[in-house]
Amino acid sequence: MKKHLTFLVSLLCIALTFTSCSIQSVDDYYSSSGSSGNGSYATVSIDCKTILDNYDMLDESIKNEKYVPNDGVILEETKYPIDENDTAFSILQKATKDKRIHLEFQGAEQNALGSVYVKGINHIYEFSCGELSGWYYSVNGEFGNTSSANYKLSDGDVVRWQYTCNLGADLGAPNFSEN
Amino acid sequence: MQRFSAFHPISSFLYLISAVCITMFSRNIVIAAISIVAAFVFYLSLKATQSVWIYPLIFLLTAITNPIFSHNGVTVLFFLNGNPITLEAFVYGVYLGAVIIAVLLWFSCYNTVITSDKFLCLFGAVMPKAALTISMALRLVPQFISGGREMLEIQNSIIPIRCGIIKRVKKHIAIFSCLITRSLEGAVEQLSSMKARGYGLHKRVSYSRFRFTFADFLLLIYTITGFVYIVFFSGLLNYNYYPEMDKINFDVSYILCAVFLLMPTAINLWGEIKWKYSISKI
Repeated sequence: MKKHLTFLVSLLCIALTFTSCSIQSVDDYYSSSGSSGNGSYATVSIDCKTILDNYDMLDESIKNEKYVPNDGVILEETKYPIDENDTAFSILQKATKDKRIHLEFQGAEQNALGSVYVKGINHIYEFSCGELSGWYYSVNGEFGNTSSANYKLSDGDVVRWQYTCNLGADLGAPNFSEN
Repeated sequence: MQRFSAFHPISSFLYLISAVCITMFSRNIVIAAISIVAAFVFYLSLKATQSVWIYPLIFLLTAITNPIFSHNGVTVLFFLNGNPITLEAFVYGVYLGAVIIAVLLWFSCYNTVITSDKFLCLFGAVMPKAALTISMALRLVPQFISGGREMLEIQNSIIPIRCGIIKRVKKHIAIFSCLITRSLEGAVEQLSSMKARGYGLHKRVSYSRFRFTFADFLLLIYTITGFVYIVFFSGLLNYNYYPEMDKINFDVSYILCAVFLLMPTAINLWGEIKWKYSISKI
């Protein structure tokens, strides 16, 4: 009896874990576009121009035009429809789904703060180009000091996702840690 | 006859350590596969007694865990909570599991081949205190298990096996405290007896039953050349999994690596055949 109970409980746990995961096939993922918007638009672009200046520091495995384009632009400025719930992160997700660009992140709806950390875009990861490298975002030229998933967008915003090789100093971002 | 165990400790120790190093430092999945097969065959030929039933479990766990936490890679299988689950991450997990199990298997073989007297013969003269401490520490767990079993049998005859949980806990605590006391006392006694015999004095020469023969010399040369070739010249050890797996070009160096890692099994088999043949002639 006891054994049966343990077995049932563990089965239930496994089932619960699986139901909390959403599994999508590749085509399903890329064709799900998210919100259709309420008539307002925002622009998003992705670039890694700073890598071109620090090319010798880049990981050998991604020294390839497929991952780091020659001009450093991964996504040209592109307009996407947004609604009032869209954030600097969700528009990135929308754009990467639309253009089939690789994206890895941690967080989003999974933690209490609702914050997100973007680990890698287009197979270029944090620490791929020196130990001070990673992804930064800016809206209308200003670097936000909240997580990108908490930055609500409004009509006409210009979101830029940029790769830094020196904790944002090479992008002209303020040093948040000193405040 | 286990011919490999009869080699001089210096040769067999260096061989086993270099096999472990090649397994650990290579990032190549083929080398990991070769190493796991070689270590397992060697383990069988040694008729070792360590249990290996947990190894497939470790392997499965690492192989499944890695793709859940690592999403790099160009070949996407499906999406889990918006993050890609990729073939590369899965293969990397398989590689990690294979390396862990191969190293564990090599160390099971190591424990069977390098007994404590061989270990003391190797390091007793150079660093006597450390060698004695290490060999005693390695003996501790097996001694604990066998001693614990013995005491449990005795306790079971005094206190019935089926009794209340408190009584049972008390019984096991008593056994545990006995074991600790016994091992501490045993260690002190062993050390003082070693001291009384003049262990670790520089003038004293210790007897060792191992002689360095020509065969040992050959194994030593074989180990060194094989290790240097595989690590520095073959170029097998570098391999990238992310974002795209490197292509594997099968060439002679893989075969040489397999030959290097399968050598101890071949030596054991050769010894076995020779032994059977000699017996049949009597």
